[in-house]
Amino acid sequence: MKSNKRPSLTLVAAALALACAGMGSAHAAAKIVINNLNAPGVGFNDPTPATPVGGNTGTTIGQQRLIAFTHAANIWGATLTSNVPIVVNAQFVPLSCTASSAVLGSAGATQVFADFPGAPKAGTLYSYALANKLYGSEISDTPGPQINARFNSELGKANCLAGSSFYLGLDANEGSNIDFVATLLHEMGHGLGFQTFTNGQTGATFAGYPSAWDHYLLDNTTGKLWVNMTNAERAASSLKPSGLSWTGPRVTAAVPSVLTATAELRVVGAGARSPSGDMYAVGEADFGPKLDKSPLTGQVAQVALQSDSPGSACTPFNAANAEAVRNKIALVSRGTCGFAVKVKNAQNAGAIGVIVADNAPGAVTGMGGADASVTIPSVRVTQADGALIAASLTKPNGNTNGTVAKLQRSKSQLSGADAQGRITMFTPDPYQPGSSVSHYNTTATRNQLMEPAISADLTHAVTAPTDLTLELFKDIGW
Amino acid sequence: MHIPAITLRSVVAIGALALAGSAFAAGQEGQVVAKDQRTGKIRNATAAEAKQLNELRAADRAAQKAARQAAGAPATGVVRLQQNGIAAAHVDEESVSYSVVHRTADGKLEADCIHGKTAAEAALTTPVTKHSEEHQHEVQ
Repeated sequence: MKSNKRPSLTLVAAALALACAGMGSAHAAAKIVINNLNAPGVGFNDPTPATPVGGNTGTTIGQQRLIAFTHAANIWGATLTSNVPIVVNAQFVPLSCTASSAVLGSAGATQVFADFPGAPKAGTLYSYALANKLYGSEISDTPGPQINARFNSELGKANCLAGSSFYLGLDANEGSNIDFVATLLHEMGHGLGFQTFTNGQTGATFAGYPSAWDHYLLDNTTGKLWVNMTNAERAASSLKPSGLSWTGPRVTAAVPSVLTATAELRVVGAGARSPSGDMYAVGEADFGPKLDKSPLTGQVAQVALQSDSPGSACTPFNAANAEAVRNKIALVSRGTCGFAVKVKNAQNAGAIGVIVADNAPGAVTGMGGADASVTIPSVRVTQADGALIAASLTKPNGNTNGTVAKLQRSKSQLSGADAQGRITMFTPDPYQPGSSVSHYNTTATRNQLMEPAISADLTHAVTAPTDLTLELFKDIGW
Repeated sequence: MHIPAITLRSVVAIGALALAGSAFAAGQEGQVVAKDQRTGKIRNATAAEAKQLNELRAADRAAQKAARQAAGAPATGVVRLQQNGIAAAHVDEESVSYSVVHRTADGKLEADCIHGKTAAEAALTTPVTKHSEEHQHEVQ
């Protein structure tokens, strides 16, 4: 007996939502129909009582799930335009789990189409919902939902990330939980067309056709578009961090209003290896003041490890270190205590800024932590760069070479963008199956909805000047 | 050379298990190990064993595809021409996006988006997104 085959409940998520464009001519509206495939008592129909949370007025788990889903669909429905309803089949079903991890859910287009009236590019695949919009009516001779979405009904149970749950509020205030609405927006984004169907690992096209995306993915080191590459060239370009740019004009035009300038560290003076100074990539801190385009300039002084401290700058500075860093930029090593602790200790000793050198090899990353009393800026550099900077000084808690650091924000380089101001895609080396290519680069700041990791600071916005997802959709034909 | 019979149970693709990133380089599916029938220990699979595993996988995929077709599900990844001349293809699970969440050592939850069922299930044991670059904000 097929116990799960029940008449589906259908919700129209967004029928009349309007958004006024600047010229007043565009009514953004697409009707998104949610088919609730769950049987009574489970998933979207779970009768377990729940307290309303974060603007979600549902009083059962099932109601809250459906309200959150509808909320996410409404955001897309109010943003996109289509004369053809977008049907999403949705259900909670058991998905893969371990004790410390779980598949939260999945979503994707069910069909793709090429060579139809209204297609912007010939011989090119478009996802179902977009193809329907461009075609102007149902395009498939085997019609069905445009997107299938499934969510894990086991989440929170024993051996399935026990104790965890989706945050079902609508206000992006998920704390340490997973924001269901942000997750939905992201996965529905893929289902609506935020992906290439071409395999980035092998370079092989899907069913022999390039995807709409492939006309806009540019290897910025070779100047070649994916659509014009061989499989090997595509695979190679998928392994070039920040080497694969999106060339669509809508996204590129919006990039300056969305992405912030890159933070950077320039070392000048006697300790620098080049007359114009040495530029170092830096990660920024979650605490303290942000860098400005006006540089914070100061001599660099390395903090020596104190006998009373388990790690660099983990305790109040002794007289020698305090003397060394006063009115200077302190160079400390990562480890043992929190970044914010180190910076605060340097601040208390009179430092005007801090450079934290990593204590292990790896890419440059940011610094987490919180301390509202930190008032000086700080950055993090790689272990190798930290060693170079340290080598330019004369002794652990001194600097007779006059090595000077400038902590600043680039006047020309935007975070996550290439030198021409085009956003880059997530193309780490080695390839990350499933994440590479069809996401924005994680170096983008501010965080983007369509980065591979669902960032905690997402606001549910999908439009500029907060987010570049809608602009990419417009580039491919939405 | 005698090649011991292997099954999907005795040869395990552990692309998911704590590998150096290089194991995921283009064109590779991850490290392949086998349970040595003589010693009972896990060791790297030989080229012949890996080839045999790939053949078993291919057969498994073919069987699954046949089962789907027998159940009336449309073929995926194959373009067909509709009567109106439009090219169409159904999308398979490897083109679907999955959200995978991990609890980190400090108790936080980190969610990653991963395309494809295979990669998503592998990511349950090895997070494939490093939360690196500028967004990995450890506190110390």
